[in-house]
Amino acid sequence: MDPVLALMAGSIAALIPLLAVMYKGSDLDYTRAAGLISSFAAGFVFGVLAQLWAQFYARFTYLLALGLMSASLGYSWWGIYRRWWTAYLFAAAGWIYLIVLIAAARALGLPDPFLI
Amino acid sequence: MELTPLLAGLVWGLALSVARQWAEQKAAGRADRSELFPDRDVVTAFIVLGTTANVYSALLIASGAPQVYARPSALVALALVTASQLLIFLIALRPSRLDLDLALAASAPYVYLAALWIAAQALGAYTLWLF
Amino acid sequence: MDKRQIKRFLVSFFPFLVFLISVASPSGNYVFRSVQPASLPQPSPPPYVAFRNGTFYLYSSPFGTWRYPGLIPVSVNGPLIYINSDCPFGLPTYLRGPGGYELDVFVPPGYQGTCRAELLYGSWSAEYVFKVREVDWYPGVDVRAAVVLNGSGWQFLQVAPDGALYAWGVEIGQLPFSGCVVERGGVLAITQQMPYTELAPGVLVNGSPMWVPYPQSGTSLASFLLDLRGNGTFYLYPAPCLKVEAPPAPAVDPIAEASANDIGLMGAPTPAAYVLARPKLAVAYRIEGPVATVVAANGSSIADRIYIYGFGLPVDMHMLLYYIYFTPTAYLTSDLVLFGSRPPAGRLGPFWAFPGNGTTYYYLGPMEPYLRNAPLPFGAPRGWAGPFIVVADGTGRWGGLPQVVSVAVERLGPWS
Repeated sequence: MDPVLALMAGSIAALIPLLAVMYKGSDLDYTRAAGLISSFAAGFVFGVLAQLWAQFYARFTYLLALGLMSASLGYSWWGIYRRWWTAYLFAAAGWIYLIVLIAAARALGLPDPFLI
Repeated sequence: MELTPLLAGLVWGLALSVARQWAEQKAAGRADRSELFPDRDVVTAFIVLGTTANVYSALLIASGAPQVYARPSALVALALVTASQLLIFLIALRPSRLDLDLALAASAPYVYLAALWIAAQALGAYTLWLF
Repeated sequence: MDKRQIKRFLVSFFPFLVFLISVASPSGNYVFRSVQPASLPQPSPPPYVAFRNGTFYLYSSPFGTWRYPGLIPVSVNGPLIYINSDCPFGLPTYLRGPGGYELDVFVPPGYQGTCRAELLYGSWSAEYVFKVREVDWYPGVDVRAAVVLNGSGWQFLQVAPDGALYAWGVEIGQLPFSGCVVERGGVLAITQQMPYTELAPGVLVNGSPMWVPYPQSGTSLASFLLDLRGNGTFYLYPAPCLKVEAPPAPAVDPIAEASANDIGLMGAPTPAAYVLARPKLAVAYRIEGPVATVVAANGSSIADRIYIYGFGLPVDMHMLLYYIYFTPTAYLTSDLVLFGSRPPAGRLGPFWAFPGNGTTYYYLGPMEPYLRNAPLPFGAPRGWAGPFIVVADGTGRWGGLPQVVSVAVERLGPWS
């Protein structure tokens, strides 16, 4: 698992909406900035998860995590476009899901968080 | 296609294009940017794609060290890539009306590599570095 | 379209050319980085192989496959290299890159001739030529010791790890190195590693330790049989033993031989009378092998202890090796038999000959073979005595220990 690739994925996920916003000349307020940070985080986690494809491609919880991260990225971008901070709450769903999985795996003493 | 050089180039290209937008905003002030810089759509796309292509080529060529550096054609390619990237820096940080021509000049390494490749395919060589 | 449209189109198109090259070329990204699909460093062949102008001059052996490890170094820069060859050498058909390989060449026995191996990838190609000649040599070694012996009859020879050559347990010469592969007359002899150990560690008898066969010991002597008629040459190769499937040699009963020849019979004066004490022997262990089967027995009487080893050979001859430990009590005796209890018929070199029915026994030892009913009692020996060697010849052709006429080291050089 290469953290540099994940960092690059996160940067690309954040730079694309930033470029779009600045190209159109729209103003970058705090809502949009929060959306950029959320996009970076979603891209970073997606980059980490995508590198583990070969190990976990058969696990349902892993595929669900990938899907939720993509949805999280999509919601963040939509929130930037529409200046809807509530979209970031939907984006947080992916985060909460992963945190619950990791906590459950720690509590049960399992080696990885993808339970089934 | 190697993923790491591609993504690295893409990140840098996006960052440079964001810098271009900021430079355009500073230069234009309250005026309309699409009138001041009529080709800004193509130029922005070129900054992203051109930087990606430059970083990709440079990293791939450098991975063939040290035998590759013995070939003058490879050294010429690296020099053209560096010059092209400097031009892209110029385009990004100093927007002007000549951006389209500068971008055309900055495409020199891509044309050079494509010409080498066509010649290599014609000669049946398995490397771009024919001389 | 005006110039501006053309420029816009070109500017947006040109960066894609780089990605097109990377995607569309047959070797993928290697087209940017590698200069040749593979580079061939100079090979460093073993001392008996010559390499000139891209041609290897190799040997093949009639005795087995000749392995040349790491003969052909190849450094693959691109994704793949194909190897096209008409040689029966076990070369792979392709090599994946990038990476370095050192290819092994296995020359089948008896192969002679010229063959080629071509490495290629598309229009790049390189070729190696192999010229192979058969030579009467064991594969994989570059030296051998040529030993000329003079003798007659079958000889039981052993080579120690330090190169000493023994015949029937007697050291007859020194070879420059040790090995377990013996060639005589173009054919390999069956060799057997006989494990030896010291009977009493640290004790020297006649200036040497007492080496006796003992299973699973650290020291081994490479043992083999040679039939000599006058001068005979054999070659010793410093190579490990070949695994052979051969029936074990017939065993010899050392207890029957010992009692038939009164080995260890001694007169001992006891408080009651003068008794003839004969050791009671029991078999301790066996070592089976195609060249010699050893049956080890030991036992004692009130006067001495015997450790006797019978070497059974598959050629109608056998050997006995024994050491005797005389009880260190000071007394006088009139009877001491080490072998025979009858007069010897003569001598053969250092051996005393005792003809029997069909088999002649030859005795070699540090003492006279026997003394019976001596007119005056003499002092019994004390402590360890030996080695006593008895060679039993059923063929009638044995002419005594062979003599080493010459020992020479031969090196295999390249043939061109």
